[in-house]
Amino acid sequence: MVFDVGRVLQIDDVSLSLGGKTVLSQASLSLQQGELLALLGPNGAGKSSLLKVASGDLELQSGRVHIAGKRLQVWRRSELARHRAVMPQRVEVNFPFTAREIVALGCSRGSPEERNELIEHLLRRLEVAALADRLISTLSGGEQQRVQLARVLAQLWHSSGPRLLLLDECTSALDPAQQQLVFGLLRELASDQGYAILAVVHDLNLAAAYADRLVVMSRGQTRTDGCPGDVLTPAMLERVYGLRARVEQLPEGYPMVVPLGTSGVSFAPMAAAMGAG
Amino acid sequence: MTTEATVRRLPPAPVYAVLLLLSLAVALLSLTSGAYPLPVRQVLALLANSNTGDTAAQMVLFDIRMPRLLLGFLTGAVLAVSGAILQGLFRNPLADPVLIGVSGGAAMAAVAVIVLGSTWLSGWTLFAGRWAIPVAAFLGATGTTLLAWRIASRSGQVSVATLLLAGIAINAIAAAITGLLTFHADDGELRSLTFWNMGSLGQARWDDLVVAGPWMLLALVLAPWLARPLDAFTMGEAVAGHLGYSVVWIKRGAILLVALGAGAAVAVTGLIGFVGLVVPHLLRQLVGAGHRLLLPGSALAGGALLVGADCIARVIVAPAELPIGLMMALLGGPFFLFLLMRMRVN
Repeated sequence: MVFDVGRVLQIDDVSLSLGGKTVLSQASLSLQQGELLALLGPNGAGKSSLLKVASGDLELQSGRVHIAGKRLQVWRRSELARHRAVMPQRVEVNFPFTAREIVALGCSRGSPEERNELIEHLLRRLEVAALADRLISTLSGGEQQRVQLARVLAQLWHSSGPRLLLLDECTSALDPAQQQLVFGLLRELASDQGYAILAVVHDLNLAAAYADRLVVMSRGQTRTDGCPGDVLTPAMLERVYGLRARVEQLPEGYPMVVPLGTSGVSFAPMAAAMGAG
Repeated sequence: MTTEATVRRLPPAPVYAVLLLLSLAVALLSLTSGAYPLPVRQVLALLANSNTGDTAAQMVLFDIRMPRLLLGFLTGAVLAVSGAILQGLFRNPLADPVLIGVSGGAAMAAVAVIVLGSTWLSGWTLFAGRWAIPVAAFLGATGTTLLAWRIASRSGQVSVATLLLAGIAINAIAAAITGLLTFHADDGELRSLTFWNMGSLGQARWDDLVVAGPWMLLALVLAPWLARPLDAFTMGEAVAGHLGYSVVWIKRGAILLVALGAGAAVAVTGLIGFVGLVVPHLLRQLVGAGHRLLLPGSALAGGALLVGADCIARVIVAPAELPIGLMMALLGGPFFLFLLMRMRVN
């Protein structure tokens, strides 16, 4: 097979069953250099499983995963770690590491000065510099999440060649301003540094505002794939999520989803409240 | 911003310096303390030039106290490092070599030789002679650990949680067998096995060091290779894999090092608890959880602690000696409770 040099991640026809239950069925996905792709879908659609197959956490049962044109199984772990970083949904640290020490675990190369500089830089970018010397266990969920993200970014920061980020709900514990902060940074890494970023996201509007492309998963399959304006339609939201919604095209150039309730249930919050009054 | 929440780490160089000085101090103390009077000046003179003509002093120093000091230090170092490694591997600050069956297997095998040495196992005692108990204990320690490992392995993957559970189950079985043997033992055998279970450095000779030392040294020398991977392991196996470490090989290496090192230590000294638990726990509060400092620091502090406890054990009920395992439990138990209570206050 001949590969486009810019194609950083290629997932073809991946199927997976865990404990007799089909989790993924013939899921496919490709990700170009410089592209930020948001993976959407309802709970249990297989988003995290697909990410885990791409990161090698789940063994490939059928189908193919290529990273930078090379089969995932062929990569040496240590070499892969220079081109691919992974942010799991949850990372628990049971030992008294400080935030700074956690980020340092992501830096494996460079002189001590270079590492310290990078750690400081990332802590500042993610607005956790003031917490650098606090134990990770004393930080809030959102603070821990940003520290872990700094560690994940540190892993690829000074790498040359293809860089792939696999992020599983990396903003789930963050407030709206911090979500913007993180996705702004990811957007910049993709556009300016050529990172290929696959991010599992639940917030449809966050995905619409920052992603180049959206892939929607449902029942283990990758169904819709395209730019936000094409993918986010009331019909798709109704079909995949069972969500009734209005979609507005913003002057900023991307769509915004306004949820109106779940299908089958007539639910207009404000109207209902006013009617009762 | 809450400033009291920030953690200040002690810089590594002074910590090492203090631990080294402490080790040297307890080493000197260990060479001078005991029934035969050997003041510091005489010890130093003998160390500088062994031919002072005082053959009794020379014999006590070089044939009795020196091997005892070295064996005690190595044992303490290996037990503390093993504790630190397993705690990182299991992501649990309460793990120690006991958990994966090292002590249970060693005790079972040692007690078997003590009780059955003149009957069913007479062939083994004749063949192994003076080494019948330590070699059996070593095989018991490594054997049970590897058995737990095999049970926890499935198609090349090892579940750390299953390993822990398998270790607990195997420990229970080993304890039951040890109990059966104890039930069968006569008075003399009961006395021997009770003392073996309490651990002792009293019988330490140079040949113990020659036989067990290399395994312990090997574990200590190789342990620093595990430092960075173990740091990554504290965030979970998946994250360690993402950071580029070969998870399977690290688990294999860590378990093998602990089985060999702690197995050899237990084989020649008997059961000595608390070092593996208390030392890494305490050091983490001082130097942080990073294993690059924790592992060598644990080695020094563990060695110093065991040698220090041995000094007390030697003089506290002079002319008799308290078993070192008993001494460690007496010191370590209350100290650990104190730490726990202080942690609850904070």
